[in-house]
Amino acid sequence: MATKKTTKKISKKKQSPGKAAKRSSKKANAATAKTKGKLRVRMYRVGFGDFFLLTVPTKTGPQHILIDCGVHAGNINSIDECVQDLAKETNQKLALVIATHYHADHLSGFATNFDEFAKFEVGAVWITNRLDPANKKAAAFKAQITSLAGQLQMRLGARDDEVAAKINDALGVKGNDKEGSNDKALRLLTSGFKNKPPVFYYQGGDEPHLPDSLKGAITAELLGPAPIDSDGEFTASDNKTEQYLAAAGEKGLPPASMLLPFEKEWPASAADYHETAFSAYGSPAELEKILHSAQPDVLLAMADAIDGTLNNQSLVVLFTCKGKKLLFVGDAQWGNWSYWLYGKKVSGKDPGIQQTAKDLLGSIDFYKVGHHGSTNANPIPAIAALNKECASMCSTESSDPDGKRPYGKIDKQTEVPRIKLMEEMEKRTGSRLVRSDWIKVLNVHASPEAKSQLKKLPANFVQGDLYIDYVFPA
Amino acid sequence: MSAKRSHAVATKTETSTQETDGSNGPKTNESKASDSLLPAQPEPPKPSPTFPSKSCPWMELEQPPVRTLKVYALDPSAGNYIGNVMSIKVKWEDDLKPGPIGRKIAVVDYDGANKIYYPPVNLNDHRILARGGLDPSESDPRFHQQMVYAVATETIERFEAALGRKIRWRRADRPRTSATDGEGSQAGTWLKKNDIWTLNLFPHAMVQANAFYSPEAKGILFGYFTAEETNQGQNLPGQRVFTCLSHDIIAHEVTHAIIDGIRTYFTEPTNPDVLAFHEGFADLAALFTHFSHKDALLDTIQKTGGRLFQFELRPDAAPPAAEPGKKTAREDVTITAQLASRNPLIDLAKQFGEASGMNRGLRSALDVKPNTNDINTRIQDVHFRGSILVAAVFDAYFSIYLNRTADLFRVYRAGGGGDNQPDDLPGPLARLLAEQAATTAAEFFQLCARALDYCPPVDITFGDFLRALITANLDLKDEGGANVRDALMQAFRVRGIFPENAAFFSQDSLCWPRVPKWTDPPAQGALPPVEAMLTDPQTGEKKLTALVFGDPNGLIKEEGDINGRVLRKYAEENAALLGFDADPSLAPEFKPYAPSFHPVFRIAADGSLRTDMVVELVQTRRVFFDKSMPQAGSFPFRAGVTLIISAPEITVDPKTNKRVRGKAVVRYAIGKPMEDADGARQEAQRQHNLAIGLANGNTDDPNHFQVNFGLLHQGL
Repeated sequence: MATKKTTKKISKKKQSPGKAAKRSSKKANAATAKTKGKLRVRMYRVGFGDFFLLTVPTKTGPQHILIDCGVHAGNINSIDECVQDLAKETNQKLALVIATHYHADHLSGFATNFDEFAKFEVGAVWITNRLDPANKKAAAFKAQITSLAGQLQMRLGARDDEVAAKINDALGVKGNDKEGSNDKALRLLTSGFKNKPPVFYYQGGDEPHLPDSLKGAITAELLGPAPIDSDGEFTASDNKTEQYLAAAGEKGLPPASMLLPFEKEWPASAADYHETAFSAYGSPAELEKILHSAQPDVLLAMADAIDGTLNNQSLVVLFTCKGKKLLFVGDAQWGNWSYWLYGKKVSGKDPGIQQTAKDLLGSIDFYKVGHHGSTNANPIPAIAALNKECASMCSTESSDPDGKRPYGKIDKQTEVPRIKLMEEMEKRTGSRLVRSDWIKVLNVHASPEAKSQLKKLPANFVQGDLYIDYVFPA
Repeated sequence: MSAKRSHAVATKTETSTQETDGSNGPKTNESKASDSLLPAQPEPPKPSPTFPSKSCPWMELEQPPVRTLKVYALDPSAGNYIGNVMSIKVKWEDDLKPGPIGRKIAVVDYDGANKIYYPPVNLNDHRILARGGLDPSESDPRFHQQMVYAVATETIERFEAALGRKIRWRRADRPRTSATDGEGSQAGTWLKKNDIWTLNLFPHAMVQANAFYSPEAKGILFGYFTAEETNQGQNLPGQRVFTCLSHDIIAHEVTHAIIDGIRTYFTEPTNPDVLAFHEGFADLAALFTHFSHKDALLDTIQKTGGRLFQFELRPDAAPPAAEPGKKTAREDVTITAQLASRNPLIDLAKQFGEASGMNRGLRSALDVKPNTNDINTRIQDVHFRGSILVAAVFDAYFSIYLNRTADLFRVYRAGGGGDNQPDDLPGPLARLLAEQAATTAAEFFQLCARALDYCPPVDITFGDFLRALITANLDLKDEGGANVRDALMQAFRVRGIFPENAAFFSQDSLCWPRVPKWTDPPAQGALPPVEAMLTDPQTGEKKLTALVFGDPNGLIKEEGDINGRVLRKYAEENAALLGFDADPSLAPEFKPYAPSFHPVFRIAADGSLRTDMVVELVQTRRVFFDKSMPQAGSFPFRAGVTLIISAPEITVDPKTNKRVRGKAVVRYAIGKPMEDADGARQEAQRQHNLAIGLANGNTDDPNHFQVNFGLLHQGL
């Protein structure tokens, strides 16, 4: 049913392709005229996901780099229009496509708009080497993660919460086909584009191959993920979840049926115990409550672990164009960051951020905020070292169409984007951080939270119908 | 007496076969209803009416000193392996209620996963008493309760004997506030909701391959789970595995709770060693227990030819000869008796490891050649790091054991025995070796436990623990301990564990420095005697008050209050000398305070009784992760000093020629000062907190910086 609906929607759109384009063209044309020959970052508002277009002026005219295209939780149903806009803007030619990591909120657009993207000509594709099918270790690990996520998805059943969201993110929601949408997206990236461009699998420290059209106009440096042979040294999303993943093992999931410890019945009640057994708690009910809360939500823990592991696989790219430095960190979490912040695995007395990372962060002109503004992907030492003149963009969503926050809870201080972090970065960069949910897109209103953090768009940020542009000053 | 008797008669007629409750008072109808489902457990036979009599007090029987209870020496998977079913003797608790619920520990068998209670075992039931405890059974929860109670009590008693005092459980943090501060207030001793007075043990708390100590739950949660379908070792595929039936796991978890009661701040991961120390030490305590299992020890000694540290035991039957240069493969073996089994003495929680697919223990630690590199790798892996500590201590233990038994082996070889002898060692030799192994293990355990009192109260490192071991050994006048100290130093050195501030890797340099005598002018590092001017609550007069050392039975509340006030005042008046921030304008919660003080009564190696007081003094400061970004949160940075205070000696006053009590003097002050060179410690803690993700989340929540053993243990 659901699939049918989607197809219908898409086909409807196809009947009137000009409509969306026309709507966005008014302002956009003006913007395009202003930005001609300038370096520009375009952030589409799609909901909770990343969809960034980097436009680079070259001798042969503007060339385009697409970094991720996906939405997951808090979907505001704008991604199809955004892909249409992308097609028009780039004339279906992309010099480079980068897929940072295997999460639906960075890939889903490639799957849902498979046919549209299949018409694109692409110069080269960069993908994190954790998805390299030729790398046995990576392939085995991916298979393990996918299978674990699959088992979890089955067991989660109709659960509609953060746990389910994390797992769906890892697999991509299944469409009509047998494959999850993430796999479909991967198929597009590796073999679906019109001209079958070369595909490169990279990790931090690799010398990336730039397509000819970009040579001389831009350089790229890969900072993460940590080398695949570093044996889990940098996989920490944090300490705890790592161990959950280890505990999961190949078949370590607890059985679905309730496990009773004894074959025979041993009926008893709290009344069989002397009252002193409960005096420290107040009542038997209090004691029971404590033990109930101690029951492990193994599923949540494993979902967390999978989530963090995949995020850490993010390809972290530093572009340099005409002296401007742009840092795209994907969803990298602590493990990935620590690799290039500290250069080596942190040992003994912590050395603090290494000088090169300090210099780098202190000199960047553009920062793509990690993981939609969650704290685990924007370490404090890194943010503290950030260039104060730096412009930042954060693709996020503080409320989905139902007005619910897609990720985390404010009272538990797990909300995404993290309000404290956003405010801090606004302060740090002199209010030069712009969130994607700051603008109204289609019939989805701007987020009041975003509006309260930033009153008006800072200089060089330009608002479009579906996106916000940042045009680098000359 | 007569009233009690009549009650007994009354209950007998009322519920002649159902009374399971050892407590006084008739039961309510409700509880009776549930009782009737239980197997009948009649009341123990009542004494005859003439016994005992007031006129004949000699007829009163004395309470038995100990209670005998059966437990698994290892865990159920060891089956009927020699000595696996053993009896242990624990102190007789007169008022032990069904559960068992005692004074220090209480077993409450509530299953949080299935939301049901299991019936509590009544260890005073005469049928259980007569058997010396229920026989081991995996399918009877009451045996599980008995085993948890017995092993936990055994562990507590071992620590109490070594430490020379009663242990206590965690007391909630008691920072000073302006409301509680001030002359005559009871700061530091009032009751707190989060104090643990009785440690509760939950043998079937959850379905999880895990067991952990939880201060919030005021107890230890043991999980149960099903063994893996594949690769389950000696378990049946899918078999139930109970963590509460593993001797090692119980001892390990209880040790966590004991350390937490001794050192409040060892649960704050201020550097990579802190949690690793907690884990490593708990493993040490569990492993040293193995060497007190006489039968298993004897068998292992025979099968390893006395080399206790070997991983495998020689099989009962010789395996078929392998090709030259090749080991006998498992496939070549025809009967199980030809299979070499693992050395149970150095295996930790074997069934758990096999069932959950995770193996831990000395094997992995001793399998690695000692090297100075491991200590710098996998910094955040608490268990890996802890295993280095375990390996270091056991390296020293085995060295001493070999050293002390060398002569026995010489005699044996002189008599024609030899290293390549395929037969078992002769019985008498094995017995002598076992004796030496057990004595040495007891000695090492005692030293490790005592060393806890010589550790700084905050921010412990492995290097600090080594220094504590050396100091504890020297301080208790162990003349014959030179070998032990040497073996420890070597074992730690080859594993790259170096104390930070010691000038040389020598005994003198590693031993914490003695505090010099208080003179005028005071020498460098000297501390004044411990006493303070306090207002007497009765008379309102100010007078010089000394510490109360009490006796081995402990202190009463009033005595504790005096000590708390004396120490607080002392810490404040001597803040600078003790390494604290002496700024008088600090808010009360940031001034130094005494989280704990324990009078200890220890027998030194020369046989003399030593009375000391071990005191923790701590000061806290809030430090921002980033000064320019206060919103990013702050962490508690603590300075602390452990004082070992000698009880005052009696001297003769030359003027009056009368015997007078001297003053309590500080013998050792083992600390981490607030300020050190370049604030290195603070910076290291900041970086470590960042590295393990503690900067995320609500840093104002006091629990934020406390370790969650549940997560830490995930698979023990």
